[in-house]
Amino acid sequence: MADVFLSARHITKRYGGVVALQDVDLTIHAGEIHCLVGENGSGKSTLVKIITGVVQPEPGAELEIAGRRVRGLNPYDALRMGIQVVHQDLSLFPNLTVAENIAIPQYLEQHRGPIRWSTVIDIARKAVEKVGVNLAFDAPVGALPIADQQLVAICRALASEARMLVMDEPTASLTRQEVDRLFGILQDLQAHGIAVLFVGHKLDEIMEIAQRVTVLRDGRKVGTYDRQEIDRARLAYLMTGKQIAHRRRQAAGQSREVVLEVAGLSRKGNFAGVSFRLHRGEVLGIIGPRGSGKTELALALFGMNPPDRGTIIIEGQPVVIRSNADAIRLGIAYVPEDRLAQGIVASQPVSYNLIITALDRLRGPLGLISPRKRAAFCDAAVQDFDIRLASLDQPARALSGGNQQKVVIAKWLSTKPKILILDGPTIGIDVGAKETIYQVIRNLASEGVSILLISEEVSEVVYNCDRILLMKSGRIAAELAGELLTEEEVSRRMLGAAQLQRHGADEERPDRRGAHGRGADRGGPVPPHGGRGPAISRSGLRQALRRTEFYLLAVLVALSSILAVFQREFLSKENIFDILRNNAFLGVVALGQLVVLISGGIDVSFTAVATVAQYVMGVILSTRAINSALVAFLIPLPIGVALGALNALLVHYTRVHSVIITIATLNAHYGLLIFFTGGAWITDLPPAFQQFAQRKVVEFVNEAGATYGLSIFTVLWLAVAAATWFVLTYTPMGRKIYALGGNAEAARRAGFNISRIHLFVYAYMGLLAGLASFVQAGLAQIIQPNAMVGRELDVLAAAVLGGASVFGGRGTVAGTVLGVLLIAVIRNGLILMRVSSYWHEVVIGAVLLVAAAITACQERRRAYRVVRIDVG
Amino acid sequence: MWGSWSARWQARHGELLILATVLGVAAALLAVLTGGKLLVLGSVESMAFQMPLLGVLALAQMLPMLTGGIDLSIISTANFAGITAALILKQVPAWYATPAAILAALGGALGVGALNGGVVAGAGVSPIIATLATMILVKGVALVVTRGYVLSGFPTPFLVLGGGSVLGIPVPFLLLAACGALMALTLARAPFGIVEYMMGSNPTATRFSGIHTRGMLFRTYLISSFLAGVAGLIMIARFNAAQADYGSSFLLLTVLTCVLGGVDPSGGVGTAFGLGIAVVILQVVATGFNLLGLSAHLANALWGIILILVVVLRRTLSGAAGTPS
Repeated sequence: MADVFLSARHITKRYGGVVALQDVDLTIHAGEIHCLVGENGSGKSTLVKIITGVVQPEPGAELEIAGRRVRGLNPYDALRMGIQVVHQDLSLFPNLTVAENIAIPQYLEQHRGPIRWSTVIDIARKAVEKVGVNLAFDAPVGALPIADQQLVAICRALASEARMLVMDEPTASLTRQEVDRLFGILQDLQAHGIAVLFVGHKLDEIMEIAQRVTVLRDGRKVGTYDRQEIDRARLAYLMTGKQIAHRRRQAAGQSREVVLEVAGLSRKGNFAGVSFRLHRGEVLGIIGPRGSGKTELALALFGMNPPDRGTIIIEGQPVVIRSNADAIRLGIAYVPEDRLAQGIVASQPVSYNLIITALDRLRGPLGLISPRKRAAFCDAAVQDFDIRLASLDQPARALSGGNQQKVVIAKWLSTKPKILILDGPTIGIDVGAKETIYQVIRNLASEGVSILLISEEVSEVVYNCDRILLMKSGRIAAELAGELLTEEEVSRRMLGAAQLQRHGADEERPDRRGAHGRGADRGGPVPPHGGRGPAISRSGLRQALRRTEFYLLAVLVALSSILAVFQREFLSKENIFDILRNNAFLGVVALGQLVVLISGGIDVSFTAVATVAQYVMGVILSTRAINSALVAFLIPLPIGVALGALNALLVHYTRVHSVIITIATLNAHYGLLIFFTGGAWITDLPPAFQQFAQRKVVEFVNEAGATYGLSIFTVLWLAVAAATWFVLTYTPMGRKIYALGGNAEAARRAGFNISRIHLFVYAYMGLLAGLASFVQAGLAQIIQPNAMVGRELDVLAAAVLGGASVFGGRGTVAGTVLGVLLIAVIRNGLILMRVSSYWHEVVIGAVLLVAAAITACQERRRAYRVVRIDVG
Repeated sequence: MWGSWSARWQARHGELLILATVLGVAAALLAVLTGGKLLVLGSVESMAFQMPLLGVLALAQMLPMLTGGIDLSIISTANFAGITAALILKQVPAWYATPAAILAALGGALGVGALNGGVVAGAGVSPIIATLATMILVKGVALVVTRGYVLSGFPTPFLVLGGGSVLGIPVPFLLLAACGALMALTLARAPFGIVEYMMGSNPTATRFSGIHTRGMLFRTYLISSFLAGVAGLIMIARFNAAQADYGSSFLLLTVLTCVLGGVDPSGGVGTAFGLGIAVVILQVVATGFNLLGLSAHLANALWGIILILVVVLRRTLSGAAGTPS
């Protein structure tokens, strides 16, 4: 037998009083594919956490990795010893490129100093070659199909010297051919001596890939078995401790009354020419590989994905379904595939989850929910569906997966649906609990409810359905009933469908599977079986045309041209230099705000920070009579950094949204300042300071003999912009800030020191606020407490106009500088047009509102596409 | 029945109880510091006149926070509504000036709410950005209309809203009680309230349950602005004057009240009852500050510091109680 890579013995873990693992052993050989299986709550994930160093076992455990005894393993050491994890949610950074996602952890491990992008690409290329796939390096990961994202995660794991790859439920959202590809890759890795620990519960896949299987049940190890020793049924038995034999549904003498008839239903990019009939009390299965359009079809019937063409007839009446409210009115209910995201509201009480579809029927006097009706309603649901709970006030998350699913079904059954659509009703539900869901389906059918059962699991549809429609590539490929309704036959056809779907020349419908959301499918009409082309090949020009900066520049040029036509002096050099000088304050703070926004936060306290810094500077300069611009420059910076660090500390520790923390510090700083200074103005700034403020780097003389030119403050602003750009693009910290804003959980898992990132981000904002306060004092030549109050809007407007988002992960220095210029030009234009200053705020507020609304609408359209893709 | 109610009450208000105790101690301390002046009838009465402004504004802040949002524009909206009313009161001397002013003020507030709701729910803009923009926008409009001047001197019937009493109970306090009771009833028993909690925790699953979530979010901001409008009326009636930038420190106070009252800024948690306790505590502390002769600026700084202390304390308590999962 091969070498032992990892050996864990006597692993016990308790959480409080609950024993998660009890004296478990696990041995993994180098270069084997080892499956770890068990139902939910069996302790799989705890065991994985222990061997990857995320949690510590109880004393007495023995852990040996690569022949070395290990104590107190932490995630960092686990990584160094070659244990790499691909999490179920992949933990990628959607806003960063493929190359960066693959290479950055490894790069940061080995290199110090500024980032060399060529090295990053090299690391990524090597990893991709190791896996033997093709990926577009410069594509943002968020734009890739989920299967390609998984490849990115695998490449990342293999970018370093991996000896063992832990994969947590890796096939959950893959199509069959993607699973094939993944398995091919895993076998290839195995040939290179890399061990794979495959955590899962899909028995078919485990039987296909495993060499050895370790089974856990209720926190104990049942055993480790060679592939030859076991089969599917035995594995199910070992996992559950029960003999699971799903009974075949006895098709009762059902009526031939057609409840739902669908004819020629099509939706571009989703499904085409779908026709079928559903009878009263019938269970009609729709099976097909992932990505065949099943869920899209279900959502179309449920009004959440309206079709372009075709008719839907319910009980003889043609109907139009435009929203799910319409669908519910027509007697259609939908139990979604993704229970936790779409089915239940996990943190709210079970009772709320049950009554959410019945609110109108539970009204009593005054239109309020009647407690009596509500209690009766909930009790009935709990009894009818045998939901196991301690109390109706428990949050839904406290229930087991099977009971959660019963809650979802119960909430829909209370609407008395004629047609119940069940989309993957047993996904993520223990083998043992499946039967109870099947029982519910059978009972409902015998009560006359017509059921559409959508599934990828062959046995599920065969056991439960009267008829099966096989879907592939958005069309119904076959109808199976009678003696064709066997597991063998359906599997055979399903495999054919998967292969056929793959054949269509590597190509599925383009806009449903991802990457292409942004690129390829923009052009003309795309047939449902269009090209699933290679990911993203965009020309530089088209890429530039899609950038926020491009539009900003266009708007800036257009606005300036209009202004130049009406106000000649706008384009004069004096005016332009003036704009650049007078907005240096705004420009500098906006760059600080940009960094905070990218990290996923917001800082509204900077005006108070700047005012405090400025005051301290003014007081020191005037009381000590220091006549030095350099001293004036140096005083506010540490004050800004200190106050910024305070914000960082509070945001990091309390985990409350930064807007709330910084509203508090804004008021605290400002209130204390006014209290202690009495709000007095400081007017006696030293002459050296005044001279500095007048300094120009390039100087001109106009006809009148006055000098004008490029102010030192403008240069300062541009220097800060360059520095910020460098920090964000070329330093590890900069990339970590983008990473944190893109996916905070993944940043944590990547081992980034989040508290240090927070500290840097808010301290940087503080530093720039201090610097800006120096600039502002120079421009105004007077220090007064309310000089900067109210500039929050300009700063945020500039950053948001420049493409940054409060949701984090996005934004560029160029965009922010352009945003500042746009705001500056608007204000300058208003002044030149002699518009009352009261109007300025109205205009800027409106500009921000419109810009934010346009950006949000674009985002939403993009997000909608992604949602549609995900539910497939 | 009672068991489950008290269990739920404890689950929802357990930590509030601790915070209430802490601040109750602070209030007692203030009572001692002010030599008992805090507890004389005059002070209690003046509190009953002052509390409604904070209370109604806090109610206006609460609804958006329950959905995981925030409404930074409530103070601007209150002033905007106040100025709308003031303009009518000043220019329409007839008997119907007061009702017309009230209707116009609330209508104006609803207009701002529709703008907020449209941008947040319709376009999907982050509430922070959207309401910050409307905050400045609406304040700007108010400045354009008033040119920064104070509008003052309103007819007596209107002033009842701020200073009148019915059976010895101040009218503004009655208004607060009415708004608070309606809110409590709505959140606990009305379909809207239940949807509000569900949406605050998981908007997607709520939408999949057949709820028109965008419409609900729109209504949330509409009601928030309406309440801000009510606060605006109380405010100008109390001051007998309207201005574009009164009461800007209230924004912080409303957020503090909500957080103290147990509203989770990330959505889905919080009750009108908890908010009510927080309003009373903060008003007692505010009156104490007043009696101690603290400047408005120092008071403001203290509010900021208290908010920080509350969130730090809450985090420390929950960190100690939580177990790793």
